[in-house]
Amino acid sequence: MNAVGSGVWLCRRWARLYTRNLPTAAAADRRDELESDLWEHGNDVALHSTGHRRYQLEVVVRVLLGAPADIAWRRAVRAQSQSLRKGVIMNGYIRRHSHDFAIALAALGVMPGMSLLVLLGSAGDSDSRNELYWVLSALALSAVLLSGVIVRAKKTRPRIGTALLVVGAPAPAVAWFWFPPLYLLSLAILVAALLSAPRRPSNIPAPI
Amino acid sequence: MRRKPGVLLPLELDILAVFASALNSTDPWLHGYGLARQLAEHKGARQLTAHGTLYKALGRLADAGLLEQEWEDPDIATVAGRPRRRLYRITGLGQVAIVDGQTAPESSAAPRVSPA
Repeated sequence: MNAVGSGVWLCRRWARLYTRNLPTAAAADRRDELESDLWEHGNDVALHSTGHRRYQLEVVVRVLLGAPADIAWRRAVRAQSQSLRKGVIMNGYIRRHSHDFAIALAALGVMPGMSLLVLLGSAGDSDSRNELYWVLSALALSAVLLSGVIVRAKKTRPRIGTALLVVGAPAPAVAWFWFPPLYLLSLAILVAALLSAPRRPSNIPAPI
Repeated sequence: MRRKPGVLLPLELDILAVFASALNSTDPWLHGYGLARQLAEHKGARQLTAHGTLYKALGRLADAGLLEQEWEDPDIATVAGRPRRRLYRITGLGQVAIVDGQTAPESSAAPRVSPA
């Protein structure tokens, strides 16, 4: 660096400093824009034969007077990128755990239906056809729910898994209809399955 | 200076005025340095607007939808032997913001803009 290049040197060093640890695109855009500005400024000076010393002085003054705005810009860009990152992390955390939670709840919801297997033989022997239909319905729903648990756990077809969980969600309530707390379990399975459902990819472009 | 959200600063109104006058020229697109030069002429100042002040204001106006911006085709810059330019042009919303600013009484607040 010589005395003539001090303004440009200062501008580049300062830009490199205040764009450090910012999102790559935002930092590169700012540095590229400054490079263009410096070049155009230098070219303008050359055309008008203003003199390099004056050019360098003008650049230094522009850098120094703009420093507070640069710092404010950096803070704004950092705040924006950090809030986005937090949002992504939180979203990923909630989605991952809602998936596990849905599977655990659904596995729990299969139990009441399975417990009816012991009644299956006696229901067939009794005169009560209604009881047989109830047991078979509860078993069918529990089987659907169990299929949903398996498919969702494998993660191969999450949409089908979700659909099976939603259809099979009433299983615990139907199996033990005389025990109202299990209605809440059915509701919880339904909500957890829907909350953990895979979403279609968004068309919105990623933010800078 | 802490500003109210959506309120244009005098510098931003000056920038919009320069872009609006550029609409009458052959090329309404301006790059940062070209704008700084025209702003100095517009205000009769010798000193160009500081880098940080200028590009922060341009970014804010673009975010608010008052300016549109695009990077120049790199091939054009390569042929011209210079860094590629980031070009800006005023939008319809920007022109409305100028009209609002010019018709607003001196004592009242600067025109408000809603982010795009």
